[in-house]
Amino acid sequence: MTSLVDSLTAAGEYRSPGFSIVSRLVEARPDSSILDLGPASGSNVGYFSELGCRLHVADLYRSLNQENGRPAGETLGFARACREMLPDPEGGAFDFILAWDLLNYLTEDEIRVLARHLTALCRPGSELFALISIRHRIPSQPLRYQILEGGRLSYSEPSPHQRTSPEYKEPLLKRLLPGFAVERCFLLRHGFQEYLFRYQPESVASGSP
Amino acid sequence: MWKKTENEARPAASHSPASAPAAPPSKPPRSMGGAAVIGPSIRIKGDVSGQEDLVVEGQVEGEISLEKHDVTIGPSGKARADVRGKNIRVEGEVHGDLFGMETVVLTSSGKVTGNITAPTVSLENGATFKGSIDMGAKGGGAKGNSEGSQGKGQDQDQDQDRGQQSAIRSR
Repeated sequence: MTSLVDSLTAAGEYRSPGFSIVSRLVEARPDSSILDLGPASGSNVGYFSELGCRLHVADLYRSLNQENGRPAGETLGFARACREMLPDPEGGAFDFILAWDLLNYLTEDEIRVLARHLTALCRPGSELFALISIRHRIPSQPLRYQILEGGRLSYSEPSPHQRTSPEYKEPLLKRLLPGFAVERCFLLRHGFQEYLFRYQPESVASGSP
Repeated sequence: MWKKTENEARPAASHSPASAPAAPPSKPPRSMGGAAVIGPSIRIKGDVSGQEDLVVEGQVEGEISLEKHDVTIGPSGKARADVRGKNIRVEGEVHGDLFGMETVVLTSSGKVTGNITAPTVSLENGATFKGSIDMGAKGGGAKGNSEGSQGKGQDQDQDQDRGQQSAIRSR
């Protein structure tokens, strides 16, 4: 189910309908475990700190080549980065995973690699939040998002350079992320779709889309 | 004619040619605002513990345990160690876990790879961090946590209804 939302109010900051849902779910479960695939941010740490959550920062952005947003060493390098930078599954599953716009900078194979690691870190019902670009061109580096009050997010572009966007569509994302069902999807005016995926491993076993 | 003053009557030891110059007083240990300092040229391999605040500007490999005192890893400090302190401030580099009894602060120059456990954790813009942050159940920095979450849980149902009403299929 996709919602068209006119929520952009200022450059670099907007009211995020997808993250608003995430924040409500997190606030309802103060002992949640959060896996942040983006870089550590003071405001994000402060936000989850007030909720008493357990936050793990994996910062897979660092696995991307600084010059052009590509993982150093292509897929093999990214697989190694996932092994080294993602937490050990023995440490427990996560309730929420924040992928921000990382997926826009991965190839299809790399998303499959990431999905395999993430499924080991999820439990049934875990939520994955991701922003997918629908623009032809995107910044050469992933945007950095900071959580503001009231379900608002601010974003900054670390690089003025641009690159081609993969423009992943929902049917392809479902194939690349087996076990993750689209729970909500919001189309935003600043060129992104916000996805909220829910991990439902039985959907893989039953073969349902 | 000239009356000797009491000061002149008493010979000053410093003016006596027979006495050796007084030894300069021994310098107290180097400290920074009352804290002990591990200087930038010092490298310690082992466990560091004590009963005072500590500033690390050198390298420590092992464990730093000062639960009742403040620990600062200075800009040139590097620690391959678990660090325990009352308030921990990282301006340099740490590979290890941080256990703050009160706060853990990563400044803009701080780099931490490891897990942080503290009631309050703060990251300044520019800080580099990879690992888990556990605010724990003790204080957790939460303000009115349980009441706020219950209230917001009620709003959640209403917003979802509004979302469904305004939903547009775009397949």
